[in-house]
Amino acid sequence: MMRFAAALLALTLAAPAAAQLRIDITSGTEQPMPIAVPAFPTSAAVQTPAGSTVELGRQVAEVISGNLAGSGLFKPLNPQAFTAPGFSEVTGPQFGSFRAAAAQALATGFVTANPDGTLTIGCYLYDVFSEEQLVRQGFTVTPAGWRRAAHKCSDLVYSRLTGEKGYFDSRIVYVAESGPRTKRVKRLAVMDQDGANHRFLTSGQSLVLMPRFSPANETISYMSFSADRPRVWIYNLGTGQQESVGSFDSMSFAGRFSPDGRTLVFSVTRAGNSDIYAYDIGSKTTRRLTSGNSIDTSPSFSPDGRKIVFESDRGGAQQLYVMNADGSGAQRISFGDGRAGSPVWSPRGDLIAFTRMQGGKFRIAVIRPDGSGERLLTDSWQDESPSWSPNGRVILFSRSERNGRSSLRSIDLTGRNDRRIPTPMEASDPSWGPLLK
Amino acid sequence: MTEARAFLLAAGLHLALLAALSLGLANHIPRFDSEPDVTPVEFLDIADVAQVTKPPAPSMEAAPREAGPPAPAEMVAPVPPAPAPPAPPEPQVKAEDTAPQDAIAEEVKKPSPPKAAPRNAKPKTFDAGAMASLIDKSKPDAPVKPKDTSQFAKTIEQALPKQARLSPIQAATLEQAIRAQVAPCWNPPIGGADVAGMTAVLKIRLNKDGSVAAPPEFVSQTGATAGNQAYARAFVETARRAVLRCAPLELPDDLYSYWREFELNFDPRLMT
Amino acid sequence: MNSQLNTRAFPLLMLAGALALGACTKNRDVLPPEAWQPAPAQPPAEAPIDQAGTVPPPEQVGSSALPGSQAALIEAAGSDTILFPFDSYGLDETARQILGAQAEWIARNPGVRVLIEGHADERGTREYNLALGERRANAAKNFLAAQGVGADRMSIISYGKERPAVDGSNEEAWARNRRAVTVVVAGGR
Repeated sequence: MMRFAAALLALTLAAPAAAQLRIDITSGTEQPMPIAVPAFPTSAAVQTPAGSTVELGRQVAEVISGNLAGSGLFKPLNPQAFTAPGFSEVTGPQFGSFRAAAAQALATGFVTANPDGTLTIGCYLYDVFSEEQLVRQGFTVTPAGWRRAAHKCSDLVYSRLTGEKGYFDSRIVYVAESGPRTKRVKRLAVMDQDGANHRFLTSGQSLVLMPRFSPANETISYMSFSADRPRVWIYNLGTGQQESVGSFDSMSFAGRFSPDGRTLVFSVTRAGNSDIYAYDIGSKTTRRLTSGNSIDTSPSFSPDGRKIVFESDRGGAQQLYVMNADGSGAQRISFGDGRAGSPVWSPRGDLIAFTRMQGGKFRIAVIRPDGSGERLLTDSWQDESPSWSPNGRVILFSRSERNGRSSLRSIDLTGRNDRRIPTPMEASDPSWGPLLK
Repeated sequence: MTEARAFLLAAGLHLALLAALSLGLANHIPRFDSEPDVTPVEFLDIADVAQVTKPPAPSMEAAPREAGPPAPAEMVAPVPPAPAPPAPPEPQVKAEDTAPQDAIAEEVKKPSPPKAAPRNAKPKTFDAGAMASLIDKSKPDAPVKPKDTSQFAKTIEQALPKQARLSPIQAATLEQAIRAQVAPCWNPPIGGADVAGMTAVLKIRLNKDGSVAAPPEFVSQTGATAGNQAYARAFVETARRAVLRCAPLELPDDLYSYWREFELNFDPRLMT
Repeated sequence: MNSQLNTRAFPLLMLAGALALGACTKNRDVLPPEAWQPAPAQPPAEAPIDQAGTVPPPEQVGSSALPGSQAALIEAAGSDTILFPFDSYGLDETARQILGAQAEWIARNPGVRVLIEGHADERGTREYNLALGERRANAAKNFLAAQGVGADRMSIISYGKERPAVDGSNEEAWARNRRAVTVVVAGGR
């Protein structure tokens, strides 16, 4: 009755609205979004130290396609499927051919050489169906820096279409492995998020483990066994300077930076007992955060810097605990079958990734900071050492096979898109760095 | 022109020379490592790499002016204003010249989904009378729960003028047909931090052949906050895209008066 | 097992010992992580990858062990290695016997200093296993200390799961990798 009245009212007051049918759409497709990324045209073919602008235009598009495809959320279409826009069309493309190719979005742009030797790489994103320009941005780089412009363009496209921050203009530090398991040689290596610009940071003389990027700057911490004194070091990638952390006469390990990069938390082991310490990098002072006769390790800050998640066997077996950054108020958050270790707090703050050990397997899992909503993301023999992408969307981890081979992999936090990250050798202990400035 | 080209050439050659020199240099710098064959890049000396990643970070300069013809109206009308005619051509946007401003200008200019929120007012007055009927849980600001079909049919039935009432079966069939065609076209942004509480309602207007008569119009959205505007906007856009991508819809001709105009409530919470 | 002896020529042993010592010393001198130092004669890490499954022979030792050497320790104590149950650092009877014999030998060789290495099998996270390895080394050290070995003659180090004794992902390999090894670092001449 009321409803009828309402409808009548609407008829008279409002528009031609006859009946407001409303239908809930509660499911969709999980297929990646088809996107066209044609070669970026140039205003004039110019030779640069990094190659001709024509060739660079093609490579930029390839890098962007690779990034978007790697996210699992996009499916870059075969460039044969449409007509690439010319330079003059970048700001006003014809959408027909992209629509015909079933692209939902078009990422294009241009590469031009500037008189001062730099390149300008333009980046434009269009919605193919509404024919609207969604975003655009230009980047000026040295020719050698063209990949970074391509990564920034990828981030622009990704963030505009998903509404989340990008993560492509970033780097990964990890441990490169070679040799038999009984005499493994391990070296620190750093590379772009897509595997490009790979280089080693240490020679492999000393065993090195657990490198971690600072979320704030170009600094990593890691553990080295050099001089048979296993302890945590801080390494500035920009200057090459290193310092050992604190002065302990026993092993320190599992270092991780605070979100502002000013504090390093890690474990120190003495006489069978491992406790967590915080080291203020500026003042070089150390504070002990946990005590008691248990293994307390793998500390990781919440993104607001107020909490620390860590693992402890204080309850009998390895489990996750959350405490305040000053060490007070520790509360257990992981329960259930098996053990839980190596937690790391998402930069988004909403989840903690960790290694779930049960049934003889190690799997990557996520859990909310309050202990609810645990989900297993991977299923393999030994997956461990999770590390978040800077936007908190993707988890990088290392996978060991039963034959001892280890590699880096990543997975979306939805549990989709388990993929291998190419490395020149076997690899473990990845840590994803922050977005570059 | 030739002068410029000569300059470019000279600049290029200098750069090439520099590069060659520094590369040569790099090869003579004592390598910290005797590496196996990996990528050639790793031989870059540190300063080089650090340089790439540090000071000369790409500056965010926007497209140069000579980039193609004067950009037409592309910068306008990001998401909805639906019945509005194609956005009035604006002159080439000047903010283009400096990127940071550009970015900001964009942000300011299109607080899209939230912007459309005022539109909410209208449907609300329309619904006002219906508020009494607690049956309808599909209202955007009601605690939205996926409703069951029988309820839905009843809702339609009640909402229709009596003389033109759909039978419950017809209503259910129509609903089913629309849902079955739109859902496969929808790429919901699952995995986002705020996806859990987010829904969006669009008003759809179709021609008799099932094609879209007007761009889907934003009606309302739940779960949008000051902190997730980019995500909320992207969310609404995925819904719009789903409709545009699926059109034309194939729906029964004889019921056109019922599907000429309707609303879709996009709600992905059951998906993750 | 470990006490299996072979009769290798004495000079060869000498050479091997000298080499090992040399390597040790060099390692110790490398101070900060070796980041940017020119590479020493370290061979490229490109080792054969197909080692999976093969079990490297245990360290071979000559019967005529040098006094105060690793070989002498093994000869005297039966083994330089004790084993642990899964996720445990408790010492069983066998471990105590071996350690007891080691303690006697150390007492007889006053110039000797030992480094006790703690190890874990691969079935633990990297961080946890470092801590667990330390607990094992510490347990061995405490036992030796209780037998009268001076604390200043012992140091400990944990390698976690980084240095398995044998390759392999099976119960037997795991059992042999959960261990503490007493390593002679300064021999008594």
